[in-house]
Amino acid sequence: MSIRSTKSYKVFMTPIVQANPIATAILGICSALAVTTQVLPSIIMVLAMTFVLSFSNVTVSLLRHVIPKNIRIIVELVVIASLVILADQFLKAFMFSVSKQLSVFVGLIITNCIIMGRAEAFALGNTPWYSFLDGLGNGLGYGYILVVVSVFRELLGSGTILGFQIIPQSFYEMGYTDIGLMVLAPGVFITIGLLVWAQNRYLGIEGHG
Amino acid sequence: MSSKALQSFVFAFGMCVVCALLLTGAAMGLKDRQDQNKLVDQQKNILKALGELEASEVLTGEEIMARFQARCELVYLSKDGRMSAQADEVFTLPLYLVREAGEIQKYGVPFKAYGLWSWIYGYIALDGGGDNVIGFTVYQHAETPGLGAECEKPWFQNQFKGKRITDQDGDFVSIWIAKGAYKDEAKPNQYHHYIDGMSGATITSKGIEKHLKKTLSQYEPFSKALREQ
Repeated sequence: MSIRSTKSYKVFMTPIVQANPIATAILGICSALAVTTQVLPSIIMVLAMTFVLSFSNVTVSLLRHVIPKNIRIIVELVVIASLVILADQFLKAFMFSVSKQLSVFVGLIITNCIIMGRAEAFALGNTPWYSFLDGLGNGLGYGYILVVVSVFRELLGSGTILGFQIIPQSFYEMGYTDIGLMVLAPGVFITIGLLVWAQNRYLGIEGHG
Repeated sequence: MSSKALQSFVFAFGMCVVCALLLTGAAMGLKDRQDQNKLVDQQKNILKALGELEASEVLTGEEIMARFQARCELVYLSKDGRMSAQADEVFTLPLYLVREAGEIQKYGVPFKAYGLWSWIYGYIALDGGGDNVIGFTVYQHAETPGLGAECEKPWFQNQFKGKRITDQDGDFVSIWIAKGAYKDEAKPNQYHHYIDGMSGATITSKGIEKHLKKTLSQYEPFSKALREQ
């Protein structure tokens, strides 16, 4: 039996490819707009988000038989909020400048629709291991779109990637200018729009159908 | 009360206790590191405002603290502009000096300004002539990203460089922040103390303008003495 036919593989890969949270469900767009002007904050955001998503899924899944049904949304929120505060505290202690750059957006992970969505739709009905993989997969599915978008934005908007100058100085001397639009919100809409199209056309549900 | 409702209450209470303990533990355990980071960040911003640290320079926390120790001297001013190394009831205004051979080369003034949501903390630095602004930085705020939070961006901060806090007659006016582009609002003879505001963040801009003027006017006796030298 190849690894591709195991349930674990499917649970992990589906949210990255066919059911990508950003490209197919258009969830989590707010943070994708906000942090992707540069690559580094995007990567940190993805790590924080994936951490929160995986462990909130695991926790909710572990508690799924004991959570009283009438307060389950509140319980999910408490789990998510606690994990986000934990991630924020660690960033402030060990990566202060990045934490300043991300400012309110780490706190806003709490309201990221993907996390609540996965807790409700997946973790409440599946075992911790699959929930963990689902969280990881969704985090990375969200993450790869964020990184791709931020590479385009930083390269076209500032001429750098991860702070290193990519577009040579001689280009600027010949009259090349950075595209200011890419740093602003419309730049993200255009980039994400193109990505959503490409993802759904070639990898997603439509492409397979 | 039905047993189901009671069960929900017990579960919710247990959940709160567990999460509260976890977060308190993390916050207390990491507090020293976080405070240290904040201190380094403040010193970094003083150095940046004073032009002792380039934006492109990447230094470790220790290097920043060492440079701060080497270059800056913290003194306190009284309301009439006298200086003391110790803070007391008379000498209340903190001031960061950079001296060359005993002469005051430049000085940094800490300010706090109320924006839209909360206090904005930062530094404004002037040269030894007591008139020309050489730098402006913000190290803590809670303004809206993309709008008021632009006050921490280089395009906004760099505008302060080379501006003056006096008008053409030499009277103190502080730095004025326009609504939009300053050239649309100011008369040509006001250009040297006017800068562009942040679009969509008039309250933040006006808050900085108001409190900057208040702060600088407290330091005015000291600045005036330097101007008259």
